[in-house]
Amino acid sequence: MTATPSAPDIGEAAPDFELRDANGTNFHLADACTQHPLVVVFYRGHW
Amino acid sequence: MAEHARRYDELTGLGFELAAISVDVIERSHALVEQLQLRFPLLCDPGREVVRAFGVFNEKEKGGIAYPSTFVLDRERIVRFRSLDKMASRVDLDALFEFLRSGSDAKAPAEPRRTRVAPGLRGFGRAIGNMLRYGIKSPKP
Repeated sequence: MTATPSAPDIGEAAPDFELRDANGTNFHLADACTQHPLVVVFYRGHW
Repeated sequence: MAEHARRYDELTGLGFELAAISVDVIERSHALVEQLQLRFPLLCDPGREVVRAFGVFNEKEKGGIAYPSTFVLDRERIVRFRSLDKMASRVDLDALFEFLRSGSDAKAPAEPRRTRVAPGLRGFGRAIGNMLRYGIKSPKP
């Protein structure tokens, strides 16, 4: 079984990432955070 | 997701932005953005890398999806609030908004203001905290 990192705790830095959004636009977490504090929501998806 | 869309103005009015993430491919997420007229980015993580990195990967369901979860990050990407109820089908939005309204200093600018009594203190404390943490865990490459 591969080790999965645990969720970052309060007070810890969230792992940085870059992903495409649904329009194909690149999103860089660290850049977004410097603009506004950010609410990041993981959801189950549209299954 | 519809619930977040409905309360998006409330969220931005409190000085925050919103980003949603799922393991759906772009085409599927795009359809949802259109359907719900989402005004915030819906990020696509079909490789499950970010979901794993955040420790919210539910590998047991539907080929591996994200547990419903919420993180509030300040301008330095520090977690200020999180909701990780792995049993709930959706995150309790009321608890989130209670935090966002609480006057938390998550909204503080990244650069400490001169008017603060001890401008460097928080960063210093965090540096010590990081030192302690990464002294115990192995440092990230």
